[in-house]
Amino acid sequence: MSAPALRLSGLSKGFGAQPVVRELDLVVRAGELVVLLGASGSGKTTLLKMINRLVPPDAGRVELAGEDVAKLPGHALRRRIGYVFQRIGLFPHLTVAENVGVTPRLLGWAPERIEARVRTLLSQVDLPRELATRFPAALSGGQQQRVGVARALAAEPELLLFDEPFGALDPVTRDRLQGLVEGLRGRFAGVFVTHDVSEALRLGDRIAVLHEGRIVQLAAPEELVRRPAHAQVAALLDAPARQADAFGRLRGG
Amino acid sequence: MEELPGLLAAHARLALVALGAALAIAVPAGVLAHRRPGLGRVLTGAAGVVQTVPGLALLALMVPLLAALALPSIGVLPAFLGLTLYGVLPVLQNTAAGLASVDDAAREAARGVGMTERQMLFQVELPLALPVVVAGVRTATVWTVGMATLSTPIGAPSLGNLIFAGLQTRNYADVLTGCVASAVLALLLDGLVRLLELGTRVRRRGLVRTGLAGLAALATLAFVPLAASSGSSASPLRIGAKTFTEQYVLAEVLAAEAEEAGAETEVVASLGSTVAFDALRSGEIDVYVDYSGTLWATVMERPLEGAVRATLRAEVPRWLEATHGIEVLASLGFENTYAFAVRPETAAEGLRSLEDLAPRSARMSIGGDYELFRRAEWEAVRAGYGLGFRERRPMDPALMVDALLRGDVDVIGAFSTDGRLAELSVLTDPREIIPPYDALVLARRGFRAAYPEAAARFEALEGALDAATMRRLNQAVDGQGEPPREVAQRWRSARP
Repeated sequence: MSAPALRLSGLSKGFGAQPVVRELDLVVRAGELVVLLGASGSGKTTLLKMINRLVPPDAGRVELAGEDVAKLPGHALRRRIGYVFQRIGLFPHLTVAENVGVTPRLLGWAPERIEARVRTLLSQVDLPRELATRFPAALSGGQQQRVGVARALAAEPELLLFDEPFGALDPVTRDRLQGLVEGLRGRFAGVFVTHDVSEALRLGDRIAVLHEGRIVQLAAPEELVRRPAHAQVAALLDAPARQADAFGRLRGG
Repeated sequence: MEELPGLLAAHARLALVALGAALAIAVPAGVLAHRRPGLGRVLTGAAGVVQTVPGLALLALMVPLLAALALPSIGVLPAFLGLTLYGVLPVLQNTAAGLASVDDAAREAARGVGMTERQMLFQVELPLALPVVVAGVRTATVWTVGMATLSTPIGAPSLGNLIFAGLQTRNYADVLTGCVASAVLALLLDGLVRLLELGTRVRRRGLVRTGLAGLAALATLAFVPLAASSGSSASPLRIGAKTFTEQYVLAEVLAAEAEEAGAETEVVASLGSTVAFDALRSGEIDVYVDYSGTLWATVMERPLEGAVRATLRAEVPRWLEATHGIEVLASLGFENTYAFAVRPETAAEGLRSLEDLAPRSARMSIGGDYELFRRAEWEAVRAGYGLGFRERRPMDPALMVDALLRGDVDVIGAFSTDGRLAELSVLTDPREIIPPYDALVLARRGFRAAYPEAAARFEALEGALDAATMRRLNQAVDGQGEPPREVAQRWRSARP
């Protein structure tokens, strides 16, 4: 059996005396998207940033395709992992095409190869080709985050990390971008952080519910909904369930 | 006006090199200041202190500083250092501020896509900070080009030569030419910097190329004359001149004599009074003319009591030789002493001598050159005659006579060889408090061995100029606006 795309073991982080992530273990299989679901302060973003070492772990081990990455320099590690940022973070002085091609350029790809890759990606994220030469300021928020997704995919990464990427978008745009990720499903291994339960249920192959720095349940969406194993899971599911009931009553009545 | 191209080139050269050095220091310092805010406060503070020193004083301070380090203390080096220091602050501040204004989201993204810290600096942070950095560069450009005119008194040729000499010799066309040329140069450089920034920002290669070509053309025009002239002679005979008309004329007389002895010459004009002596002492200039009383009181710091002509004639050359190896080659034959003068109508009210002045001085104001009121001679005259003026106004010596005639001041401490003194009434010094000021040709240590023929020609100037002649020559420049060089040559050709 081949090694999983990502294996975290005993990963810990504290800020001061406050533990944020506690001796956490997690495995992401090849082609699988694991959603980290949790309330604010549950440690999910810190956990995500420890995977590509934007936040250095206090203890524990990160393995990428079976390789312990502790000895890799941070920038070399991050070139192997795509990252979609909460604040989008496109470079305002670079065109859309240059933004998408930034990691391949850092890796020293030939210009023709970068150009071809950018063309493919722009069509994959449903952006018209003529946007390639525009600057980010000329794009809508939804278009910007499509570029953000394309940028994360550009260097054919071994793993994709999503840091609450659609939280700031309006519901319609968010739905479309979730559709985009859904459409790419199975083609990459990834970890997706969100506090939005319906987003987690829609996108996750498995969902890890984080509470006070620990995973309190790790399960497929159906399993999670049917058999919540922890009070916090039940509490998280409660709110969307009530919303769905209210919505159903309005529709039915 | 034939010196304009040379001075413009020297000015552009000085400004470009100083700006380049300021950028080379300030941009990395700005990056450091951004990365380490504690260090940044120290750096910005230090640059800010430099900025509070007035430009002329900052340049002048470089002279003793370099002399203490046994480096060439007058000329291009102190000017370059002063201008560089001055240019650092705006660029340093704006680099740090520009980097601080970069959105943290861009920084997080730069790390996240796999940039090293260095790649993040050059590919994200500096490009995003560029407009703010360039604003600082443009400020530094305009300051540096403007302030380069102030490097004339410390011996670096610049457009300031036209301004300083023009003010002294009342050649306002020269003053205006110097100012306009400096302003045009500043605007041109500023425009080129703007063009480069705009071209980079909107990615128009054509604009960037035009800007670079403009800078290259400017640099070529500034540096080519240097390369062309450096082939001819290693170092010319350098003749110093202080900041007044008589000094310009005498420097031209000495230059003409030296050229006839086969030497190449360079006149280093408009030097500050003590800068000239320091420059001679350190060998930065070879010869210049100074006055026995000035040397006695200001350089030797001797008391004025007993400063009679015989004493000075014996003591000054002996002291110069013994202390600094400086040789007095000739006493030109006139003295340029302090002449306290009033308007003729004031004299007509019975004011003939400094003694008559004492009872009325409380209602009067007095004008003098920049150094007069700080000199021992003034203190001696003031105390000796019991003078106490309502107001003292130091001013440029070229403006004193006009100020007196207009009534802005009532008495001036003028110079006895001033050509325009004929329009005024000079007060006598019955107690003989003012020491004699014989004009002496001074040569640096080792000058006679290096230039035996020129030294012999300078010695032949002993007694060649009387006070009336000197006044006439000064008047030709001050009154008729003739160039000092022509006046000097006419006098020489009229000599027997």
